[in-house]
Amino acid sequence: MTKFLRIIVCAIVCAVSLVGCTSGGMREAMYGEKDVTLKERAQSIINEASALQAAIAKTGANHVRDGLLTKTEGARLAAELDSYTSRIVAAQTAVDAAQDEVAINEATIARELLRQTERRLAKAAAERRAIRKE
Amino acid sequence: MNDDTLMLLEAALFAADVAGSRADILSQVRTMRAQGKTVQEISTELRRIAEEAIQALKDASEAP
Repeated sequence: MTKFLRIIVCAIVCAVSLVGCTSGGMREAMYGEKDVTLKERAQSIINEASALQAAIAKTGANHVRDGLLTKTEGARLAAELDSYTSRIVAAQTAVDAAQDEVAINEATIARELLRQTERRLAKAAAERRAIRKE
Repeated sequence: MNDDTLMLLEAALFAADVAGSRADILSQVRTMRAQGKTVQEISTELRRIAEEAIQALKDASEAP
């Protein structure tokens, strides 16, 4: 790989990482710079999970339309994203019931599962490139 | 450009696509805050955006 391309890839990864600091980004967008309470922290993680769920679904839909994901893969991804909704809703219910610790746990698990899905899709995109090349 | 580079670029571009969508949503949250919407209203709106996006993915996956 040329040095120039390494720089491009690193720049993209850095940009993604910066935008990816989104629990901080969401917290700042929701509550500004102030210190947040446990309840506010829980709500930030829930909203971040919803935002990540939406972002993955939007990217997935675009990739299906562009032919980068098959329709079967798209349908599977939609079902997977749908399966996280109950956890996000449970976290929201816990926040509303003042069970902040429960909410944080549920929302954190949902967010981590969504991050895993995102990483898996990125890896799959790379593998598809390799398969197309073969 | 060799295969390793293309694979890395493809993975990075996918991640960048997701990050771009996420950044758009964060921008929408900031706009809603600036408009004086409550935390509850914003959270409800985010759920709606996520559900719409999943539905759009389902529709794209079922389109002929």
